[in-house]
Amino acid sequence: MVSLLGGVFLGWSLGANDAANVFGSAVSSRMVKFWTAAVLASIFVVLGAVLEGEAGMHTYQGLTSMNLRFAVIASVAAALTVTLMTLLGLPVSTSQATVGAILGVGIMTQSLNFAGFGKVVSCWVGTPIGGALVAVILYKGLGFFYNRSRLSLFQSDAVMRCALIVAGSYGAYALGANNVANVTGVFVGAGKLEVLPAALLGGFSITLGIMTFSRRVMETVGKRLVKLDPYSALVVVLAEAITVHFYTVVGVPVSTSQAVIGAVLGVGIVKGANTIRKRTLYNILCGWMFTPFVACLVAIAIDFFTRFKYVGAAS
Amino acid sequence: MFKMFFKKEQQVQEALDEYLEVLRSAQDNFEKAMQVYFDRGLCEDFNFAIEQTHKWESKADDIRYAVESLMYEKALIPESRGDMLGLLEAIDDLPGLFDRCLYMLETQRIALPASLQSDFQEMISRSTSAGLALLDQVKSLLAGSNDVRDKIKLIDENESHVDHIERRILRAIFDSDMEPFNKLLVKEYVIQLGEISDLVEKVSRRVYILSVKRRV
Repeated sequence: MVSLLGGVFLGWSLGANDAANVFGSAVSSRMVKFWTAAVLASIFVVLGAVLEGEAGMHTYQGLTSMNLRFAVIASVAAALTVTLMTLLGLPVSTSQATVGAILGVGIMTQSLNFAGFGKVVSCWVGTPIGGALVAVILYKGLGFFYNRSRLSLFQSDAVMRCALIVAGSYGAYALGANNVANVTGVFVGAGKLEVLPAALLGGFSITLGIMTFSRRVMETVGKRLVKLDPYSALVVVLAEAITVHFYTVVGVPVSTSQAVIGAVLGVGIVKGANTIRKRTLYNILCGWMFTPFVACLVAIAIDFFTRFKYVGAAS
Repeated sequence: MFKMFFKKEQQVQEALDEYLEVLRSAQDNFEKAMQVYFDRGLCEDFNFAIEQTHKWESKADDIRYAVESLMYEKALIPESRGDMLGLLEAIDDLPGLFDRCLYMLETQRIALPASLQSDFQEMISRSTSAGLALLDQVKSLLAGSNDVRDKIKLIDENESHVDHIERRILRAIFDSDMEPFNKLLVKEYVIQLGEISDLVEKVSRRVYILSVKRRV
């Protein structure tokens, strides 16, 4: 059980940070109570993990061959990287940390699947681009119907509120389905867990993070989304959910934050406004390059140090 | 089904409809009071009409406070809530202006020149037409109708006309052989009357911007 702690920590961290991407705007604008959002997010995260989490786990399984020892190293390395980079205030994605750690393990075991890594990295690049593209299509498409609807101010607000809850729940489902592999995927690869228990453990770890620590993150991250008008905020959440769900079907865990950034950029393109600072794009680039590199080094370092043996003091 | 889930929104909608009806009554009463003044000058009926207008003004305040509390109890999306509260605050000056115009006549014993009565009546009629158009415009905004812009045109026309009459009356007053002190009193009153259509126009611009904001 102790061997799973790194994964549980990663799940907790994911839940605490990434729930803000799906319910942040609704909670920080007081449209939905935190506990309603937290319960909905938890239910849908577990549902997503159980129903569609398997594909991502198989992708990680195919990246390298590993035993339980290496699975623990990968999981602890990813957890340490996320913690370290968060403490240093650097941008970090759990998916990228996990893949970096698996890369480190792959180097040590000399069993790297380069095609698999290529697929994963191309999906990372595709996440913000996909988020932007989906946001542009959604903004135009939904806007066509929204402008032609004869809803009163009160009806349209009520519909908007419902839509944000539905989109948030879908986003939570996509989060669970896509990111559960980061939490317990390596243990499936190592044969320690079957898919269903891994999905359940991963889903509940994320839920733990949502319930215990996501409130403040939701309020701060959500306020950035709320600066958009309610319709744009809805488009961003929905675009993020669709993009992340798409990569779930492809079987590659991606960063929900980067999907959100892409979606905000997409909304900005449609509205002709500059919604993203250059610094944010720079942070994404850093995330792609720096996070896997650090996680890889940490995994190699852990493997190196755990091979030391105590030979006793010279008498 | 919506009504069941969004009770507060429904309550606010009903309160806003009531508020607009009270504004209409305040305006009707103002128009009636002015007619009484032109027909019989400062008299008991005029005083009664002032009291009635004042009552409508107070009632409008009460409903506005009720709507504000309902909105703060999380009805509407925060952005819409802020917009609606701002609009209510702006439109709420209207019954106050009716009240002030009537009290000015009563407390300052202003005697509007009989020769200019038809001009004053036209000014009031144009101002209240603009006011009615504004109330319809706000209803259109709440209903999500597309005719918010059309109402602006009507309000603009009335406002320009009121400005024109206002200048005509002022010129006539200062060309007349009235007592200088009376001239100043009447001038102040004309300016106060002119503020009704100015305010209506200002609020209608705001309503239009809100309707544009709600389009994607």
